Amino acid sequence: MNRAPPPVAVNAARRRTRWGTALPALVIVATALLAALFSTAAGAQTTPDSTGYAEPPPEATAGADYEVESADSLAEGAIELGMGASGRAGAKPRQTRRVRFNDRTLGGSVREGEADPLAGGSIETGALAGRVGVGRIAPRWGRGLLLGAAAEPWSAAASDRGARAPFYGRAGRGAWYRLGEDGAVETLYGRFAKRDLMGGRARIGPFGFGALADHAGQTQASLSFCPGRTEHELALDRAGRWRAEAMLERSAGSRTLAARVRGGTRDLRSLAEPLRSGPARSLALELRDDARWGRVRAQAALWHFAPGRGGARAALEARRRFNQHESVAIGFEERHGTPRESGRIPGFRQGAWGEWRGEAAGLVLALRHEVLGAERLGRAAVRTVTAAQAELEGPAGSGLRITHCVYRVRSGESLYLIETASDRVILRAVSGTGRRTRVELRAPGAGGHINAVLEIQGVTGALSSEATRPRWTLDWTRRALSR
Amino acid sequence: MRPAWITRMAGLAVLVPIALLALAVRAVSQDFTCATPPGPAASAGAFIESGLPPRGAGSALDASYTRWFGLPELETRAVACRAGWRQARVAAGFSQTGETDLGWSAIGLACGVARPTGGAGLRAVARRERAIEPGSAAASRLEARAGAEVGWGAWLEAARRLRLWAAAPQSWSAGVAPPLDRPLEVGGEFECDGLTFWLTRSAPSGGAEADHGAGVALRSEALIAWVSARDRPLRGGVGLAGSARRFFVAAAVESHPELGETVRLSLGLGGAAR
Repeated sequence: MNRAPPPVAVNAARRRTRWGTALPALVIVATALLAALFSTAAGAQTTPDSTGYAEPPPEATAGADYEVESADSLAEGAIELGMGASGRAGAKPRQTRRVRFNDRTLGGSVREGEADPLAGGSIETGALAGRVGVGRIAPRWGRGLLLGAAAEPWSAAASDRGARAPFYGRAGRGAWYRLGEDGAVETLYGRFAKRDLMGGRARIGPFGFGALADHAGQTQASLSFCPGRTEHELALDRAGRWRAEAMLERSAGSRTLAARVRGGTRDLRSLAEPLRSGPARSLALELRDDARWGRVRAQAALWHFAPGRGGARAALEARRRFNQHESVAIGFEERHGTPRESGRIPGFRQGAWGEWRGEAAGLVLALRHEVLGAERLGRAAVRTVTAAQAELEGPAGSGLRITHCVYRVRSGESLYLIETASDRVILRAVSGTGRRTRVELRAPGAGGHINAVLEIQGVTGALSSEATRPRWTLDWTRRALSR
Repeated sequence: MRPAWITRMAGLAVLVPIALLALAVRAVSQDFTCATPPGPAASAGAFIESGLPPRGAGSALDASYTRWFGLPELETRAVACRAGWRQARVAAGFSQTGETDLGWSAIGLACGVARPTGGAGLRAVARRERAIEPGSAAASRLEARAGAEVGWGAWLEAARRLRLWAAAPQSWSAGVAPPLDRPLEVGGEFECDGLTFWLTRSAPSGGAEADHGAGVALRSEALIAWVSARDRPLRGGVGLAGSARRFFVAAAVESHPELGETVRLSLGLGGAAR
């Protein structure tokens, strides 16, 4: 049964509409102010993602598990072999295999496994004074208006696009060629979003020019200007539709102030990643202080997809580090509207989270609690999660980690629990009310490392179903130098 | 008894309103429940109950008696022992609850490691109904007459005099459902001049909301007295424990506004309430 939106959500929708009509003027004024404000420059940095609420990217199926490959680099001359099996009690196990290698001239990886979303291969080698590769493609051009956009409207950069991203995403599959350091010249041909595309990009000093085209004759172009820490991009197509984004950063000591402003035509959608086209207009500010004692980050963002469809977000996060393992973090977040171009509009959300992590002589204990509510101060909670994790270090690199979480998710809402496997990160979708225990055991074995995971899910006394059956994973990884 | 201790005791008596004594504490433990404040404790029963290993090594033996909600037909009798060597801790116990025709027996095991600044342990309890009617489902199927649960706990000194813990006593269960649903409990205690303050939060369970607990304990060399309160519904309890040489005895009374009082008695050798 659909519930009537609370008054706060209605007011937020009205505010969104008013803001939407005034946005072009706001964008122009904001751009001028920001251009005047920021006179220094240095490379646009990817801000570490918040440890707050985890969400999969917009191209992922809502309410389903999402897996992404960890960007774990391999030393030159190294080869990595991995074999694994996973399954549920009473079901046929699923096997996975993978090989990665990195030589001076040749590198690549192959993964295979039934129903493995990361299955596939990629290989790259030196050729024609550059590097050529076949397989997974996840580049980032400029601000990402055509390729490599961030998943969320408030994020400064995509965490799974580009060479330095912490995760290997998959924008498409095909072949690419890069020439020069950091890809001064880049060409690609591949299949993106069920469409064959070819494109290229060249950079001369701070200037960059790129173009994408498909077989139907649709063409999009990108002009970027990246003098140090500022980064601007203009994207346009043959129909005259355009989008522009400017990102400016200024640092003073450990503090950094960053601002992004985007404007343009609503109808321009990236040929390669249409689901990541993002809002046509947005404004975001971020202030962070990466001091020695910890980090403070404040964010504010407004965005607009279409009339009646936009959103706003304000977030504050503070993390105090005591040493390598010990830290305390708290965060607050308020959202209005929706971060997605389509689908249900969640409306007003306000929540907070806190996390503590301590370590003593080989034992690590972490506690976390988060709540997100449909009313102020986290009331009318739509999701609540309490989690505890204990980790014991054993001899010879062995260890035992137990994570237990209790969650409650309101109907229609999604919650994603982060799981870290040996070669990937999984956002596990859960719903309803339940509890989950994950036991991870790692030990040296057969010349490599063995990771065994057992997941138990369910509520005491609940009826047994496929979702509540224990899930297990066994994985063996070995790294060796090939010469 | 030192004069300072008397002063604190008097202050506590003034601070604790009489009304609090009338409140009650819900039973958050079951087969091996002991008369101790929440969190890591030295008793073997508490180790089996929560999975939180005691800080100290050595051995201990304790017995406990609990009358739940004032019902004479619902009593738990338990005996447990523990041993420690270097960092390793193990405990085992046996318990019986209820009368012959409507009760159950349980055995519990716990093992873990503990250091002065932290510890972690696993616990397992298996139960079996005491009276099994011939021809019934319980007689024909094991899962209809017996049940088991496995859980864990860990604690750590987060800072000087501040200790945090997490206990998930029922991470996995099978067979007959446990008599009490015990979700993840997170807690912390702070010690200050002989006073220990604690806060606990039990995660939501089933359709119920999370509940919270708070308490304060006053300790001397040989005595510990504590008062506690919980919400949903608001209730409280008091407890007193004393030790001499290697023996200890403890008693706690907790009451529930609707269900009545729960009385716990513990006595042991080699351990202590904390």
